Amino acid sequence: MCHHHRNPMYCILPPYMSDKLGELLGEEKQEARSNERFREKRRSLAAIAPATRVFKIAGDPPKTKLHRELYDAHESPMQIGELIWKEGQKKLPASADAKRVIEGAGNVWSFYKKLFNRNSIDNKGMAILQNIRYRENKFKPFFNAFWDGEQMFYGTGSPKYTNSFTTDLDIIGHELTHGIIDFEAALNYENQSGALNESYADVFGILIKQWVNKTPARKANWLIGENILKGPNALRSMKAPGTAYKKDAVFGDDPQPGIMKDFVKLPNTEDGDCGGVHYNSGIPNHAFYIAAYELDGNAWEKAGAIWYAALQDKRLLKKDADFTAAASATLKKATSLFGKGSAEVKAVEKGWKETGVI
Amino acid sequence: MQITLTQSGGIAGKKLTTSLNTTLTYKEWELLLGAIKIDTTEKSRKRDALSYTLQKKDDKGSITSIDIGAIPDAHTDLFKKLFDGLKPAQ
Repeated sequence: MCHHHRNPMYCILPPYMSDKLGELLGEEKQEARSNERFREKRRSLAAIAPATRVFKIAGDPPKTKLHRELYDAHESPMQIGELIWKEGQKKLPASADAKRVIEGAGNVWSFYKKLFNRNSIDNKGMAILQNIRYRENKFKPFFNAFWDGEQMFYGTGSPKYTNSFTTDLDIIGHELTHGIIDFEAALNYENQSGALNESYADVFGILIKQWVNKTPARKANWLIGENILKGPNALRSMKAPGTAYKKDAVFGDDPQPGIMKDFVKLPNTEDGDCGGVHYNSGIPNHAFYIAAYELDGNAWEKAGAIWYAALQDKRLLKKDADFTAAASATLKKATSLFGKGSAEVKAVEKGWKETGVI
Repeated sequence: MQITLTQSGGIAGKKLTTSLNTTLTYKEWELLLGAIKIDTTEKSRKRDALSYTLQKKDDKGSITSIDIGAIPDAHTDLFKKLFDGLKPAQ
């Protein structure tokens, strides 16, 4: 039985490692941004919203408990949908989208709480607000899910081409992790730091899925969004970047590189994917996969702990960090947590070496 | 006038594009852009959001970021065709 009172993640680590991790993570966290700014925005938006719809304003979230709210955008560009469920209501909404994101956000919250003693997105109990059935334009099906800096939006896609973007837990985990990244390393969303931002979201998205399904690293398929596209296609493969989808009706072929030799140079513009953040994330994704596979067992226990510790250390992982800096940060954390020359250090090193980053 | 719509970003990160010959006059084009163009100089806090640009064929180097939520009703059919025609960029 675990007797560590501070951090349940330590329960999966030997005491000497858990004590060291405690030092590394430190008690001082970035002063998280207040929820108040967000709630003020919701109030002001609600004030100018059409009077024909009833809008609710997010209440003060409890500070230590999971608090979720779910809004329905009714297949329209509403930035504030209709509140259809909030924490404490026993009866879930009828729609599959609603049930999936409510349960998914609960799993994401539990993953971070139980493994890393993290209290929601900002580590201060921030309410998790999600919007389903969102569209940017009422005539265009929304083939996407995104984090807007304060809340989540999911599209239902189009039955002809995709399933709903609420379908996969790793996508829900990916998007909510973007929020966590903003409160930790706050990696700039451009070029290599942006690709690291994307990769971190993928890494923790897939770990949340593996943790919920109790899938060890060597039995996992390492596919992100495996149920969204039609046929055998997924959105990304961490095991084999560039192979997730082929001849997909919407997206064509998967362009992701898995090694530095194939790094995609794109302009740092909107139509250049901010310097290829969704393209080159394949490289650090693959490095993580190699490390986790090498370590065997559950990927969240060792590789996940190393990556999370690096994300929390702003001295090592700065806003403009490149892949080399991420390699250095994860190697230092692996050394601190598991010891110099340990199997964990060697596995992390193997990941970054085989991808050509170091 | 031939115009090109490009969609970028999103969680898939794949660039999609389409071109269409239209009957838009220069004045109509300018009015359309005036209604839907957005300022992208400020860094967005959005992650995995889709973004859109519009360009006319002879407008070399001038690509305008647009808000597809602001498309005027008069241009709904035009944009329906553009949205339907989006294909992976080469």
